[in-house]
Amino acid sequence: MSDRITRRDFIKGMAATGVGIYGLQLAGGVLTSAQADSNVQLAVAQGDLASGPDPELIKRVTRQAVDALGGMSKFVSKKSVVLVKPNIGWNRTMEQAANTNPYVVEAVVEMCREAEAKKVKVLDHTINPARITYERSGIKAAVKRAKGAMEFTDERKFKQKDIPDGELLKSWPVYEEALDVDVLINVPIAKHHSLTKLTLGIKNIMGLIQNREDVHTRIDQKLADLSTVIKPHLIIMDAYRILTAHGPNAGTPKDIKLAGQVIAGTDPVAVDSYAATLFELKGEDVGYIKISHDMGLGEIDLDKVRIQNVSVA
Amino acid sequence: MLRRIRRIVQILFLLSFLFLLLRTVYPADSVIPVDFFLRLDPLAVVATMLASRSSSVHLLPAIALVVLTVLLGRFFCGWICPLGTTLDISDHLLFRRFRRPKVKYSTKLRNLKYYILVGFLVGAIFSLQLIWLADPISIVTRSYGVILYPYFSYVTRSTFDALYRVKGVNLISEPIYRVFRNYLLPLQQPTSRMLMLFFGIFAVILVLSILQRRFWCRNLCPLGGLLGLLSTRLSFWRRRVNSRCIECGECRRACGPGAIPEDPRYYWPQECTECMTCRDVCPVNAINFGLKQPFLDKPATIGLDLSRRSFVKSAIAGLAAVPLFKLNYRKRDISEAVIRPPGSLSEEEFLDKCIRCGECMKVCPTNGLQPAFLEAGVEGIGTPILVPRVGYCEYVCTSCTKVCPTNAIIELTEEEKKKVKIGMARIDTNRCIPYSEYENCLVCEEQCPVSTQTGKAIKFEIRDVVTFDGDVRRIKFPVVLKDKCIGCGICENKCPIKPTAAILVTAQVPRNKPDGTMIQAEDVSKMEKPGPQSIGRVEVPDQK
Repeated sequence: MSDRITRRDFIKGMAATGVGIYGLQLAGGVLTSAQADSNVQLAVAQGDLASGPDPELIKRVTRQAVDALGGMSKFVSKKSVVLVKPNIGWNRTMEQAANTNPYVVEAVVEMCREAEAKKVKVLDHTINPARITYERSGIKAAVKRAKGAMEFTDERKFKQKDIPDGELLKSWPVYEEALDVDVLINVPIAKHHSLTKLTLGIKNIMGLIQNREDVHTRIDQKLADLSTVIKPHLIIMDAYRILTAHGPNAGTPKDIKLAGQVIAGTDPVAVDSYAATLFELKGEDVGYIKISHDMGLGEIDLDKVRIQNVSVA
Repeated sequence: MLRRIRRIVQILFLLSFLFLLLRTVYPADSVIPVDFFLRLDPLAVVATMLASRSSSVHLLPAIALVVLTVLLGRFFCGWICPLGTTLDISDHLLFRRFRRPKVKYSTKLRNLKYYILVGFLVGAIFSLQLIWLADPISIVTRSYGVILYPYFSYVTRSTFDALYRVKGVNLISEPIYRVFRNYLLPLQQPTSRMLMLFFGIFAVILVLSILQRRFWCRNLCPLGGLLGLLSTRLSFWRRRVNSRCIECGECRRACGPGAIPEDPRYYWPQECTECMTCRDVCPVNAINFGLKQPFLDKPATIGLDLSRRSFVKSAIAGLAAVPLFKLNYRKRDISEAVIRPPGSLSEEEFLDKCIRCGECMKVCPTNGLQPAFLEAGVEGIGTPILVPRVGYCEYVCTSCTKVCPTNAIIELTEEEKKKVKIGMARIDTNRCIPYSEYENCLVCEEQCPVSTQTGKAIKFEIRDVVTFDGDVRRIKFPVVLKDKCIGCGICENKCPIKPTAAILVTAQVPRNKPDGTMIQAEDVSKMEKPGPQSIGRVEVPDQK
């Protein structure tokens, strides 16, 4: 318990320092793309923890993480079709941190619309019945507010996809829209997972395939195999409320930690490797991150990644 | 004119019945009770009360219908009953043209329904609840909910699936399909194991129309019988024929329920469904319906000619059937597959109360509630059981407990539901992947929704094992905790071992503690050991 308070205090201190550095610019909650480093591989936006999980703050944090990467228009061109893939797998409320925070999704959809996307679809191939999880997660309402299109996955749109570089999976039924769409944005939540230790971005693509229960034996290799064909253009990781135990679905309040971060990046391995540090792990400790790195899917060594930290009040 | 109004009213009631059925979905929070038509049904109420010797809380609508029937006659059958309307529609569209050998009016045939009523009610007194075989509202609810709705869904889906494959056409068909999918269809195609039995009963009722218009309503329906018996004496509403009558018989031929005898100036009030078609067809406007004038009116009615002997016979038949059903299985040997919905009463009370309306099966969001075949004995045919391989019991869902019209399933809050133990999962270690193949899997543990301070109902222990090749592997072995597992069945549902899962849920027997309250997971004593004996165990982690 004492350990947690220290960590929280530490992060608070970090946040305070950040606010100090960026000062008034950020107090307004706006960071223009001109200020963002275009070579940044990873953007980490830290919300003020003292404010708690404030909806508006979560949205601002999400926006600034993306802005630090150069803004959504860098990824979403006008008239393009965007597929946003949050984790909406479980019949849980947002306080239980089993699904992506709805306000993160809301901000993502808003940004896509501001970038004048033709259509912003939000979907997940859920574990519990989708009609229930969409509602209970709060994401359906969030997408409605942001004027996106919440869709149920369509069983007919899973097509057998060849995985030429796959080690264990040579082909698998994959949601074809995820492969064909103009822009695929992965919006996972960072949380504990019993089998893989953590559920992060690479694991979140399991919501774009069929027969997920058959992927669990030697799951780390299989996730890396899938990542060779399902390649999100942008990953926006919700690490606002993170679930530290009894994941991926059955956390109680004491398992939930307020980390207050949103991580954005284009390198799936780097994003996950960074997110692992929130759980006091390294990328190498999580099987699928390690294997994905070994297969050349991204950078695991955070020293080699340029991380742009942003603090948001 | 009146005929047209009645048709409109009938259609409106059928539509509202269907609307309520469509609203019978998770989270079942409709303001109007979705089982309203079942609550309206005095036959189901009486049979359930007799069988269970308890009063149901949902009595008011049925009492209201009884009072109205006593005052106004058997109007329910002609104006409201969704099965009656369904019969009228199917007759109009289909069976009418096949009707050749007209069955003559026969009071004997018609009296059958009263005897059927007596037989079922006498059986119910001796706690044999078979009213589901003949109660029209129960039949029509499950026919639409468990047969026709899945049928409609299947046909719609297949049609749009076919159009989807045609380029160009699918640009038009897909937006339409989306509307269907979002508002009318279930998200996943529901299935029903007992489709053919339920469909059989429904189909026979429809096809009987070939013999006679509304053959079922006239001759067999015990609810019609009950309402008919209620409407003979005190009714204020009477059909009157004045002296203009030319005895042409038009009214008799047009009469749906066959309530007009050879002399058309008379009628059988217990058969009349107050449709007032006779008034419309009369060429000389001789027929009127109106309030009875007690002193002026000469009763132009004919009473029932039920024979006491037949009454006794049917009562004896009802009685005689009881042991036949009760002796069909020994309660002690009840099948492990009888996983009842959460909130179900004890097995005996449950069988007394369940009228197989199918509401719980319709509302179940995973389609896991299925009609039993012989798992619960002959007496339990058609009662709901959870079949985890089809669908599991959703952790936060209490829908089935809210829609049961007879309270065979008691309403539970979400918090209560999360604790009630309906079954117990057990791992078949001979086939479970970690135990039998030394590969990690842990799908069951991942899926387990039980959320307590000390974690899930499935935990795992980590052991190092040596394979035949000499590899040392660190494997996570799942273990089910008896005092946490509620038997929801999601582990069995999602287990990758096919076709039979390597983790199987068996029914919780008994469901109640001696004081009558429902057994909860925590009432089950804890296991002494955390799991199977392990050789070379390296750590029992803190289950993070």
